Amino acid sequence: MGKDDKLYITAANVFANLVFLTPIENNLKNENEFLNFKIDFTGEKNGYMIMKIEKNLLEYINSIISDDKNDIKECGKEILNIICGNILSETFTDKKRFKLSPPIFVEKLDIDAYNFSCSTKIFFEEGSVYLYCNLNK
Amino acid sequence: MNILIVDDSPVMRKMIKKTIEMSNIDNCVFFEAGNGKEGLDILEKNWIDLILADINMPIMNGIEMIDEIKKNTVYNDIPILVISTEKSYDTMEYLKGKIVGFIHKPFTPEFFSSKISEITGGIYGKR
Repeated sequence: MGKDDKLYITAANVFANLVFLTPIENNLKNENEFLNFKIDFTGEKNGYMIMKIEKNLLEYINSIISDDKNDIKECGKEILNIICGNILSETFTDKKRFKLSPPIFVEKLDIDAYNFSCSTKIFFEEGSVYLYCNLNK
Repeated sequence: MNILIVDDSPVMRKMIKKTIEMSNIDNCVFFEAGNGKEGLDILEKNWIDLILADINMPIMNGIEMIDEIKKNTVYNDIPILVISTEKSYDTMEYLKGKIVGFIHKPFTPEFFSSKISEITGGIYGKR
């Protein structure tokens, strides 16, 4: 299995277990505003992961988790933290220790300024999410 | 059942509470702390039946809090479940014998229910 597929499966499992979302094949709706989050990690390998998530989707997820609309950015950070922790555990063995930095919200993201070793996109009825990962910094 | 949730993310604490509520575990009263130090303060003042703790937290992390709890003869027998994205072998080895289980994020209501049932001998949660 390639890195992109592994990232897709790991992230899809996080969304399914956390907020019961099932991916769909394609999102035919026009994509709207995206919110961006980044997390760095150090350890056996250093790197970072970036999540671009459609605001509609994140609002939906936040409504499941929290009764406060203002939690939306914290919700995005927590999701990225979980996806990153899981992909590192899946990619490397459990014996390797990684330290995750606190995730951050990125106001303006220039995705071309980053290098990635794998990426994926997942479509849900409620919106899309793009994930980019650099494991080889 | 009085449950202390120790996690620096308010959203994660909400997520844990919601998941427990969906697990059909009745009569839960939740106490919340944003780090290990706040968790110890709550333990000093309240009766707690179960502690759900994150590892990576500012001020006092989960491992430091667990070590403090284990030193205290008043509440060192309260079951502790660690809930974390971290899955490192070193951490799990260190915590062996100090905690009753490890829940890796993301978690499902079913998993929570069976874990709590296991800890409480079937009094709470589902077998």
